Amino acid sequence: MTKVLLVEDQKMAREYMAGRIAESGRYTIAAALANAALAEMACMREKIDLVLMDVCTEHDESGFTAAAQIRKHWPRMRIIIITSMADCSFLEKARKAGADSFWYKELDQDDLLNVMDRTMNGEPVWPAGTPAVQLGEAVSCEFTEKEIEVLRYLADALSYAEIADRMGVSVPAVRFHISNMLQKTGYTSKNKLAIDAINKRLIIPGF
Amino acid sequence: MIFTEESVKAAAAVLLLIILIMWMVLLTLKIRRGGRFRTLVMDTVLFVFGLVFLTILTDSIPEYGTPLPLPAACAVTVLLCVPLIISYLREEKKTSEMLNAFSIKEAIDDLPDGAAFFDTNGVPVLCNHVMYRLAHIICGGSLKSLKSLEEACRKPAAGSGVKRISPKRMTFLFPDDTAWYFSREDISCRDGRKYVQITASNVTELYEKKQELLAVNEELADVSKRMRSMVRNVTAIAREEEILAMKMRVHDEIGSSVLATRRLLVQQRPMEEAESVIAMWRKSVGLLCRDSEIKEESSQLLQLTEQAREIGLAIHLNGRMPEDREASYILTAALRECATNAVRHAEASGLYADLSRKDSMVTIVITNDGKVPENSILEGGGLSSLRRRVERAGGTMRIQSMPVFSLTVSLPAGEDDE
Repeated sequence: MTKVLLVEDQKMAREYMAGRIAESGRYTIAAALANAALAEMACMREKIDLVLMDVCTEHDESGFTAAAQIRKHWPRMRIIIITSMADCSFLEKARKAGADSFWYKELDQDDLLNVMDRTMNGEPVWPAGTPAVQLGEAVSCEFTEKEIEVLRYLADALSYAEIADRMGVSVPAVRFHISNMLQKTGYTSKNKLAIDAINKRLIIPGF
Repeated sequence: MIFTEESVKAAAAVLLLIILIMWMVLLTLKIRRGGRFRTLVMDTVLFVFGLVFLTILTDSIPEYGTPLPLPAACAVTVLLCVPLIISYLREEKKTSEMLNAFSIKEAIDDLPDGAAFFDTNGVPVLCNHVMYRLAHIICGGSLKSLKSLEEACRKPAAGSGVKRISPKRMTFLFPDDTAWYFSREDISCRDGRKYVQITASNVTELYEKKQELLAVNEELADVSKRMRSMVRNVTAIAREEEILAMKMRVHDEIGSSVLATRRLLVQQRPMEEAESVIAMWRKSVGLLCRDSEIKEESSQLLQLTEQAREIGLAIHLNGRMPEDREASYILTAALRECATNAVRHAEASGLYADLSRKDSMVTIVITNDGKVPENSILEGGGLSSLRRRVERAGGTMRIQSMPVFSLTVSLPAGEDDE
């Protein structure tokens, strides 16, 4: 039996997933946690084979940080990042944290067991891309990387000057990216753009 | 008869004399101004001719000598007048085009900005209308010296109604709602004389635009504040949506179990099918039971203590956690970080934490009973992210490696609730 550590802050979702995983007969749930920061300790307690790690967990603890920590101390442990957030930076952050696979929660639940099986067989499973999100007249994949980066800072309510400073570019360059995005979406204000991006979960501030 | 030939000739002679004197004056002026050589020669020739003619004229008065017909005498006198008048008009035109003290004063007076010049003793040598008016208002009297003006700029006269609007710059709002920016510049002339130039630029439009900008910025800050609070809530909203989706799924599963049962009963299906329906019920009811069996989420500290015990580490906490949720969580995070490190690196079996309060700060000192670190501890991923968290909450964090490892975290935790 493969021992699974499940990290998911939503009680309902956690129990539902735990139930489904236990039902399969191939996996047992060693621990189900709400807080990603407790995962490392759970791994110290007993030998875990597979970690299912949510990204946004209790107390704003990041699943990426926890995954990276686990990867550092247990290089052979399998890690699957699970999320329902369409934030386009998550895929890259998951790779950086050393995850083996990545699964979008909103898909079918049976799919999860499939991803777990394949991951345990040593096959990395990654979605082709972030689910496309409609923003005004544009689809999220129409944005360039730089534009998404600007949008991320915009969602943190930073000013033009602050964004320019963090990105190491000039203020006119920031304006240029924003006006491009406004043109693509057809929105009239950058705030509307930022709010919509957050609402559609294209950007999750703080993770 | 009054108009005798002698009297007319005498009058012409006097007129000619006056013309010649004026001509001489004009000629000297022309020479001083550097007139053209040809005109100078021409003028001189005419002048000499005039002189000669004057002697002939005076000689021709009958009582003295040579005769001269009267009409000719009058005609030549008038003719000599013409070049003088032309010359005079030309010089007059030149004068009006040339720079002089008056033209400079006139030009400076017409400036839309204020300008004044002072000599090294601070005495005003030149001051235009605008500056005169401004100085009058700001000094509460006429402009006496540079010193009095500078004094007034530092502290406008009481009752003048002038308000300084910039802490750094000499910018003032005058009672007529115009804004002026005063600046001082030392200038030295080519001949070595030194002056102080004070200018007052009209920045009313700039000031009004700045006021507009401030109002817009205020609005912007408000929007940004609302944005920030929205951003904070967005993750919570997203999670709520997830719960809803999950509840709907459980609801759907129970719903389909009910439907299958109904079909089974109404259509009186064979008993074999009942088995699968029962299995369905087991699954969905099981889901619900599991959910209700779960105890209330224990507190973070309790969770940590339990988990630590399971990895063979006892946490001894001396003192009380603050009521403040945020502070309490950060302290728990510090404990957790120390707990994993103590087990992993120090092979400790006990973790000791002392909590104390002073004023509105709560301090935790964490040590363990494991091995003493061989080298001083470097802040890696866990400790440095803890530091970020502590400092973001307005606290401080200190690490000590010798003689034993200890971690000290101080946090603001509101009022002492004891």
